[in-house]
Amino acid sequence: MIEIVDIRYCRLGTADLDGAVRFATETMGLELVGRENGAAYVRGDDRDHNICYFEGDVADQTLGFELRSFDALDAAETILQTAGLQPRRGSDEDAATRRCMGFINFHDPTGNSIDLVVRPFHSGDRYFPARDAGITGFSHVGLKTTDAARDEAFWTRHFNIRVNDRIGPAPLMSFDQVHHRIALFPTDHAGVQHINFQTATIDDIMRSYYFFRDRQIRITFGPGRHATSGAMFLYYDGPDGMTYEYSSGVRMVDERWRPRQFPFTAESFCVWGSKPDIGEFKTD
Amino acid sequence: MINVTGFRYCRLGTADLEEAVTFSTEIIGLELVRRENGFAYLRGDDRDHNIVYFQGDPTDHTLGLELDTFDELDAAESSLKELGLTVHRGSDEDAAARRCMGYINFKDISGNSIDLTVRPFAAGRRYFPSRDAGITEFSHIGLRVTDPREAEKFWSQVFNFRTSDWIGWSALMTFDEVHHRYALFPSDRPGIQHINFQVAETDDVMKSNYFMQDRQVRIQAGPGRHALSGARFLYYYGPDDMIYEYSCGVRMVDDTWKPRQFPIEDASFCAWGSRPDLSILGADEAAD
Repeated sequence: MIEIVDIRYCRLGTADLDGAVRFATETMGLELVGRENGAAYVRGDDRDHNICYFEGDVADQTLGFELRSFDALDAAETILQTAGLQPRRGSDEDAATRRCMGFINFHDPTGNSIDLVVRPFHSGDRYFPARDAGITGFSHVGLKTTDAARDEAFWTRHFNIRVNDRIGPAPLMSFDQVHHRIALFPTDHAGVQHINFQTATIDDIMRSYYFFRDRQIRITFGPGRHATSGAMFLYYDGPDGMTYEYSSGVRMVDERWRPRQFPFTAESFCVWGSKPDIGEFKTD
Repeated sequence: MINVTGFRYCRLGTADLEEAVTFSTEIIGLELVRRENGFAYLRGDDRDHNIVYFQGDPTDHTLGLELDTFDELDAAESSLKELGLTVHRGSDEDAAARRCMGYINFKDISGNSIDLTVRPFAAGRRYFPSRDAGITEFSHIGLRVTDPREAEKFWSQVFNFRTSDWIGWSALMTFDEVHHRYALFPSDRPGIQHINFQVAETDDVMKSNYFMQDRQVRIQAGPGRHALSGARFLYYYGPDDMIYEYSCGVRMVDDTWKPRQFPIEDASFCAWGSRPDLSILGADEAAD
C-alpha cells in the first residue's frame, strides 16, 4: 500500500500564461510566488506552491501527492509497476520544475497524470493574498473518471485512500481526516475536474459570490451547501475551461466514519437548492 | 416615560385577503391560526398571532406593542394626549379583535398608527409551520417616518426605546436586548416598510433564497449580511408591495453597547456585497 501524506499541487498547461496568472491572482486571490522557464507558481497557503501553470497543452494536467520518503517512493514504483501502470522516475531537472527532491509519475486507469513526490520544497514566507478572499489553503480536487467503480477500486487498493461518501457512482475519498481529498466524477475523458481552495468562513463564500457577479465571472454552481461534506461552496469558471471552487466548513472524519450512499440528484450536491451548471454534476 | 415590554403584531389592510393568506402560508411559512369577522390571524412563533390581515386599504397599517398594566395604559393615554397626539381607547369589541384585554391607539408624529395593548392573549398550542422555512419568531419591522431625527427623539424620550446604531440619520432602535425592533426609514408617508421573521440558521436564509427564485417571488435585497446587526438576511416582496424579511443571527445588545454611526453606503447594508435599493433611505441617486 502506498501511503500518501499530503495533496500538494496541480500542474496545468495553458495557452495564455499571463491570463492564467492574472486570473489566479486578481480573481482567485492566490499569491504568485515564482515565474521561470515558461511556468508560474501560485499558492493559497504557506506551502511552496499549490498550482503551477505552464505554457503548454490545456489537456496536460497533473495532480501531485506527497510520499514520506525515498524508500516509500521506491516501494510505490514497484507496486505500480506490478500493477502494470509503467511509472516513470522523473529526472533531476523535472524534479526541480516540480519543486521537490524526487518524484515518479504514472497514469491512473482513466489516464489522469499523477506525480508522487518526495521532499517537496518548504517555504519560509507566509501566504500573502492578492485579494481578501479569505483563502486558508488548497484542499482537494475533483478528478474525472471513465469508470468510477474501477478507479475507486484502484485508489483504495493501492493507496491509503478510503471512500467517505458516494453520490451515485462518484466516490468522495480521502487519505486523512478531511472528508474528501479526491472525488471521482464520471465522464468520457481524463483531467482535473475542479480545484478547491478552502476559505475561512461562509462570509468569504458570499463575498466572493457578489465580487464575481460584479465582474461577470461565471458562477457554475452555488452558493450552496454540500449534503455530503456539509461545506458551503461556490464553483466558478477559470481560464482554459477549469472549474475552481471555494468552500468552507468541510466535515472532518475518522476511522469510525461509515460511508453513505447519496442518490445522484441535485439535492445530494446542494441542500440549499442551487442547481449545478457543471457537466459532471448534471443529473438530468 | 412609557415602558414598552412587548413587540406584538402588525395589523395590515390588504387589497386581496385570500392572496395575503395564501402568500403568508405557502411562501412565508406562517401558520393561519384563525379567521373570524373578516380578519385572518397568522403567526411564526408560539404567541397568539404576529400578523392580522383584513380586507381594506393596503396602506392601513397598525403596529401593536405591549404595556404591562392598565395603570400604565391610563398614564400613557394621558401623556400622549398632553403631547397633542390623537389617542383613542378601544372598545371591548375592538380589544377582542386585537386579542388583548384592553388597548389604546395613537398616531405617532409621522402618522404611524400604534396600538398599546395590555394583557395580549397567550396561546396554548405551539406554532406549526406551513412550510419548513425555519422561522423562530416575529422580530422587528421597518417603520416609515417623515423625519428620522424627530422620530428618534420621540421614541427615545416618550418611550423606553434607545438607539443601537445609525445608518445616516436613521436610527435602529429597541426597548430590550434585541439589536433593533424598529429600523426607521425616511418616507413621504407613514406605515410599516418591512416585516422581519427570524429563522433558525443561515441555511434557512439560503434555502429560502432558492425557494423564492424557483417561484418567481421578487427578491428585494440579499441574500446578504447586515454590517450593523451581523444578521444574514433575505428581503422579498409579498402582496400589496409589503416587504418581508428572513434573518438569522441578529446581535443582542445590553446597556454597555455604544451606538455606531454608519454611512449610507452599500457596505453598511451588506457585508457580503449585495446591493439593496438605497433610495428607501433618502440617499442621492448618485450615491451608488
